[in-house]
Amino acid sequence: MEIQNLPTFNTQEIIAIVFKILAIIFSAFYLIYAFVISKQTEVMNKALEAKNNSVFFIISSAQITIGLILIILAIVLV
Amino acid sequence: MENNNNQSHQLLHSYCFRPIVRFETQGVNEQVILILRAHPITQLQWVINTFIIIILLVVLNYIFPSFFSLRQIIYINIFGVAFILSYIWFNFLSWFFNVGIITSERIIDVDFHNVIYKEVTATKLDKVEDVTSKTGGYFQSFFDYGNVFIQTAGTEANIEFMNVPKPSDVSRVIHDLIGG
Repeated sequence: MEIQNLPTFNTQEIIAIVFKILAIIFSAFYLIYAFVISKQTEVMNKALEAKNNSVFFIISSAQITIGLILIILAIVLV
Repeated sequence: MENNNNQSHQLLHSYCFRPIVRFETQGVNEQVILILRAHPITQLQWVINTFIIIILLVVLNYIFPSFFSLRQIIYINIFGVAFILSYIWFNFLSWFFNVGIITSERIIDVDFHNVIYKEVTATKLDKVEDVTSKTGGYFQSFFDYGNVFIQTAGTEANIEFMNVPKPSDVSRVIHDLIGG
């Protein structure tokens, strides 16, 4: 009976797969962190309403956007 | 010394006299007299940490090509920059929103521990028994910052403003408000 050849991976491919998995996981963690900080910034702005509170909202939104970009890059680019 | 009626934002908004702000539990006729934050020099540690992380990222870029492909290196750099910016933002929020507020009616301490946990301590001015300001050490004397302890009557919570600028002026403002 012939034994079918099992797929083999070289070291570089293993590193690439592990890197991709870790990149997706860390990006997901970053996105969750961005959402938490964004929510907490809302609470903080409510506690103390300064003149330029919209700046905090813009930066928090940018952080969430960066998190989304990181996940997309982890899936597509890496 | 600030004019009694004019606004004054000093030391990168860590000592704000009569600022145009509102806070959550502010009463209708309640006026904000003083907003206090930690002296900017006390934030030096995380600023230095930021520069160290940036230098580390640059140095690692010389090591990465031995182990990772170009796409992976690009991703690591983007993630590294995002991490650094988040670190700066986290520490800035922690500094900016940890405030001491002195109003025409109350003294309020707003603390956000690690950004997530909120603690608000407030006491009315007529409950204030004693105000102590402490400045110790070379750095605190040179940059004129220290701690202000506000002791209140009975079972009311005591309030502490840590590492605030001009602790003597803060103490004077409170004494002026309570008529002491």
